[in-house]
Amino acid sequence: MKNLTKVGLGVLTSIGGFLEVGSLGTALQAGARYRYGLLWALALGTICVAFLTEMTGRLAAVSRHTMVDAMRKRFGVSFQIWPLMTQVVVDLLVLASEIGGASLALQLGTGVPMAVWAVPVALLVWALLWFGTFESIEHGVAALGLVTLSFVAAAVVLGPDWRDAARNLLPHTSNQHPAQYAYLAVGILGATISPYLITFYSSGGVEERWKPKDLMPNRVVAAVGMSFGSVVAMAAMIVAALVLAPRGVRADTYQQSAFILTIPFPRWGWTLFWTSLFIGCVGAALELSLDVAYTVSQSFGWDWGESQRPHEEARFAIVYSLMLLVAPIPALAGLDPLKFTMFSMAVTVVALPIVIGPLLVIMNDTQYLGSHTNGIVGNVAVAAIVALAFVLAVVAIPLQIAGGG
Amino acid sequence: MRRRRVVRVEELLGRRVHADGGLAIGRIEEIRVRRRRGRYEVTEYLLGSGALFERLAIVRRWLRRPSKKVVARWDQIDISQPDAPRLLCAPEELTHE
Amino acid sequence: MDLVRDVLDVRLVDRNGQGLGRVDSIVLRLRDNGPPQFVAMEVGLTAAARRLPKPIEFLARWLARTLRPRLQTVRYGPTLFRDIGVDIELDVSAADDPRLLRFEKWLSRHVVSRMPGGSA
Repeated sequence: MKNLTKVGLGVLTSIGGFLEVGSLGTALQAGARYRYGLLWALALGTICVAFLTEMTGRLAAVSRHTMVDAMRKRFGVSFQIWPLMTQVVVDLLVLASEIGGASLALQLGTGVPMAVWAVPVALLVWALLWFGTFESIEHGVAALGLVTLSFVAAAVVLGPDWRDAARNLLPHTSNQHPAQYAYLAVGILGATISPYLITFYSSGGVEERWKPKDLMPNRVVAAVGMSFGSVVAMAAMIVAALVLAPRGVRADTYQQSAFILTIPFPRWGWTLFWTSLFIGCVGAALELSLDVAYTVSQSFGWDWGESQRPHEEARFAIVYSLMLLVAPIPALAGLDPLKFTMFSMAVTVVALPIVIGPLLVIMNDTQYLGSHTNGIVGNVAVAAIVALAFVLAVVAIPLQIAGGG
Repeated sequence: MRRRRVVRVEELLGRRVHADGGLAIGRIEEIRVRRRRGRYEVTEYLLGSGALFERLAIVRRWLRRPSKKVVARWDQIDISQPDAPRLLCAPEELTHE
Repeated sequence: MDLVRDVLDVRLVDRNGQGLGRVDSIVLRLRDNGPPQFVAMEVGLTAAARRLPKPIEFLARWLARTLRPRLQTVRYGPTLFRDIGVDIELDVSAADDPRLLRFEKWLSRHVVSRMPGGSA
């Protein structure tokens, strides 16, 4: 039973990776413009993030320390300052997108403009962190996140050509607007293999007091948890292919796509869409707020932990409070969350090699991992993912200029 | 330049050690201490890129062979000017691990 | 013991497991007759700032000067070692020593505890 509840961490993490405003938005755009053509990007991203989360979970279980702890110790503050600053900037940008996404979801549900919702949403996220515990947040979001399975149900009801979809799980190029295709592929990979996912997961493992006996559950959690988000995101892409593409809807904004679930579910589709978006964005906002506080606290050796009361870890609590004070600003200014997200995803992609590169060293450190260091498969996987991250970092900005229109 | 009495480890880290005549010996990557009569005294400095790999625990895993380190005793390097540590002996007197 | 691998940037905890920060600087005292001695570990933003790129060092020092209470560097001697592992445990108690974790205690008492749900 306890192992079953551990899956909650995997599901919460994957919501932040696959079902937040950027990931869902790019999945819908990809489905609308290229049908099943970019399923492979989601599949590849899932495999990468499952490997990385398993590794950082293993680090947490064996050493009771996080990836940021290990990075600071092994590389020193003069190196660590760069991933730290990068992560804070990226997390803040993406957090702002999530507050915007959740506000937009409420606008879709109530008709009240999103700018009105920005501060209440930020306040809601803050209150959940301030008054809640890690466990309550984890299980609450994971349970509520089940509403996103409505995309899976919709895909089943719409009855796609599953063979055609399966064929597109292998990487391939497109002749149709190749720059835009590449841009969306990079966007999907960047939104999926997010640095905050990996650092958050290792902090979560320490929060949950994982031990070496949790190594096998960690593998299952990493695989099952990431698969949950991936399956829902793939289903969203498939539904977009079947509903938006034939109607010529490009899904440039969430408002364009919001009717998508009303085709398979005429009565509940609208509600299911905006509640899925809302829960996905709030879950991601919780994760991002915690991730910044974790990263800053661990970098400087402060006490940290969501399950402690705020007065017991004042600096930790103040960090996420400050982030949530600033994050609503773009939504208050009326910035479209999907466009803002595409910008923040490009920054995320550039940050990726800086944050995951050190895993090449950390996952081979016997002082932290004892006999549980990476084998040849793990090392090859990390090296390949880091290489992929460098490629993405180099092409992200030029592609945003060439294909982001 | 005035001889300093207090030096910080991070001022020495990565500094190149030169012998008389300007020959570069290696960079300070590690400082070993030993507890003696209730105090911690410096015993050795580890120099060169091998010591850095040792610090990052890369070598034994990836290259599957021990790293090469140049080891200098505490009295073989003058660290009183941390931006320019000096070798106090002939380079041949240094040991390798 | 290797200072760079085992001490520098390592997290310090007190005897109750409370975090004291990370070792930002290690002080060696040079002697005329004998080897240099490892005399102190420094924890604090100003100590860490020396190791950062200049613009960030400038910002860190400004923060240390400007914030109230001022962020001060704390020194711990190696004679306080209780256990050395992935973290270093010291024979001090942050709860009992007012000189330790001053900023954290001030934030807890004067900011967090005054917010709804923030008090003990």
